Amino acid sequence: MALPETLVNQFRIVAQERLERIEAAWATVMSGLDDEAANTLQREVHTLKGESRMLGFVDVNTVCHKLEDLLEVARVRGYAVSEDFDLTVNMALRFMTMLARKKAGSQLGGIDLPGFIRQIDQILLETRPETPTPRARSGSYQPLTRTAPPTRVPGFVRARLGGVALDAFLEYAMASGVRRDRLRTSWHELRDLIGLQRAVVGPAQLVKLKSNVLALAKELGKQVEVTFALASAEVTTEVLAAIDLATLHLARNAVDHGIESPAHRLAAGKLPTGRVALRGGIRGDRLVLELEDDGGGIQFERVRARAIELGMSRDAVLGLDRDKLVEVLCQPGFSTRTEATDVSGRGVGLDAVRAAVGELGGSISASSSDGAGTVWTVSIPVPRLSVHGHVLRVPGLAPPVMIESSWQLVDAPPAGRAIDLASVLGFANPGGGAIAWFARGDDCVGIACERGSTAALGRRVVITAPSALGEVVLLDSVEALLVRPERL
Amino acid sequence: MSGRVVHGLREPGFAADVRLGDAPVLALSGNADIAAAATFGALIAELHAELVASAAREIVVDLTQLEFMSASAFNAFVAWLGLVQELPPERRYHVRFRPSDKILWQKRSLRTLSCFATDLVEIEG
Repeated sequence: MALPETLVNQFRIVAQERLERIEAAWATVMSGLDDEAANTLQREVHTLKGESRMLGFVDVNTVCHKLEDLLEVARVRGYAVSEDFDLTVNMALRFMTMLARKKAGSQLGGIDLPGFIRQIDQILLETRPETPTPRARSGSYQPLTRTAPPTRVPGFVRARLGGVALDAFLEYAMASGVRRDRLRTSWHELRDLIGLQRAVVGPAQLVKLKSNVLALAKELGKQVEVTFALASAEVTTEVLAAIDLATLHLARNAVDHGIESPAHRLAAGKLPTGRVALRGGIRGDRLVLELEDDGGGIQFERVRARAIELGMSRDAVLGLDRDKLVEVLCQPGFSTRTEATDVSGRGVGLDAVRAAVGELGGSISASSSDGAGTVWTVSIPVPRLSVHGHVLRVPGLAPPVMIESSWQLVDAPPAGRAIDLASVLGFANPGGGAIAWFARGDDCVGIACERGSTAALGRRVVITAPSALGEVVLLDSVEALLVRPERL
Repeated sequence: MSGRVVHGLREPGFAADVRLGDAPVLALSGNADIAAAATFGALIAELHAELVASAAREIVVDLTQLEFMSASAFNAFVAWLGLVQELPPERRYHVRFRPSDKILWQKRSLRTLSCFATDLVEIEG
C-alpha cells in the first residue's frame, strides 16, 4: 500500500534536516575529536537509515548503511582519515540528498547507485584496518553525551527565555499605538520560537510503524503479530518526536533481536508467530509506553561478554545486576552483534532512544525473562498543557489575570497580603476595584480586581519555571497573564 | 556566445580560469582548500548561467594543474551537476573532466562524482 504523500514529504524535510546535522557533525569531528559530535553522527545516520527504510526509500537506506560503515571505520581511526575518505563521506551525504528528493521506487536516471556503492567499498577496503579495535573510551562508563532531538531551540534555552518571554508579553500588552505594534512582533517572534507546540499522540502515528515492523519480520523470515493499544493524548511536539524515535527503534529491535524464527519458536514450545505489543498512555504527569515481545529475552550473559570484549573491566561487569546491564545495552556503540546488518548491530538504536528520552527528563528501562520475552518501558514527563483557574480584571493591567485553581477564592480573611499587582509589575495603578482573596494552605493573598472572578481553562503558551512570577496562557483566543501568588 | 564575461578566480594558491567560446574550458590550478569553496561555488553558478545562455553542449574542466581540492570545494561540482540535471533534457550540457595522470586522487574522486550523473559526466583518459 502506498504511503500518504504527506508522510513522504515529511520524510524528505526531516531527512534533509538530519543530513545537515550529519554534515555539521562530520565537519566538527574532522576538525577535532568531539565525542558529542561523534555520537550525533552515529545516532542521526542510524535514525535516518531506519526512517528511510520505513518510508520505502530503499536507495537512501542503502547509502545510509554504507555511510555507517564509513563512520565506523573513521571512528576506529580516531577520525584521522584521508582527504579521499572525507570527500567520500561528503559525497555520500550529497547522494542521499539527491536520492531523498526522488520519488520512492522511481527510476534513478543518470544516477549510478551501484557504482557509487562500489566507490565506497573501495575506499573502505583501503582504509579499514584488518583487525578493528574499538576506540578506547575514557573509563568503563563514559557519561552519555546527549544531543537535543530536533527542536526549534534546545530545552535549556527555552527554559531560560521563559521569563524573557513573559516580560516581552507584558510590555506588548501594556503598550499602545506604534510601540504596541512593534512589541507585538517581538513577542510573537519569541512565542513562536520558544512557545509550546502541541501534537496528538495516538494510534494514527502507529500505522506506519506497524507496516514497517511486519515488513521487517517478513524480510527476516519471522512471523509477528503486532498489536497497539495507545490512548490518544495531547503532548508537545518534542515528546512526540521522542516517542516516534523510541517506538521505531524498540519495535525494530524486538523483531530483529527478540522474536525468534518460527522453527526456533516451535522447538522452544512456542507458537510460530511471535507477538509484539505496544501499549501506553498518560499516567499522572508522564507518558508511559511499554513495548513487549514474547521472544527469547535479553541474553544477559552475552551482554556481559560483549561488555568485556569492548573494554569494560571484567570485575565491574560481573558485578552488574540486570538493570545495570540494560544501562550498558543503551550505551553509545554497544551491541551484542559483532557484525552489523542493515537492520541493526551497531549499538546506536537504544542509545538514540535513551538520549532522546533523557533529553526530556525521561527514562528507559527493561525487564526480561529468559526465553519468555522482554518489556521495554519508556517514561517521559509531559508538561501540563492546560491550567484551570480564576480569571480577573485587574485595574492598571490590560491583559486578563489568571490565578490557578489550587488557590481557592475565600472571604476576606483576618490576615493576608493585599497585593497591588500593577505596581508590582511596574505599571501605574489607577486605583479602584475590590479585593479578591485567594488562599492556599497557610498563604492568603488579596488582589484588587474590577469585577468578580470567573472560572476558566487556560492553555499554556510559554512555560516558565515555577520560580517565575507567572506565564502567558490563552483563554479562548485572548492572551492572559497567569500569576503565581506565592511568587508575589 | 551571449557576450557576457565570466571572470575567473585568482586567490592565494588557487586559480580558476574561464575560457568561453565554441569550446568552453574551466581550468583549475593550485590548491582549492576550504577557503576557496565559497568563491568557487559562486563562480560555478555564474559559469552555469553563461553556459545555459549560450546553449553550450559541453565544457571541459581541466584539472591537470590542480594539486588539491578540499571536500567543500569539490562539493561545488556536485551542486553543478544538480543545476544541469534541473534543466530540460534538450538544454543540458556535458561536463568533460580532464584529470592529471600524475595526481591520483583526481580520477577516483571523479569516478565517484560521475555516479551522480553518468549521462552528463565524462572523464578523459
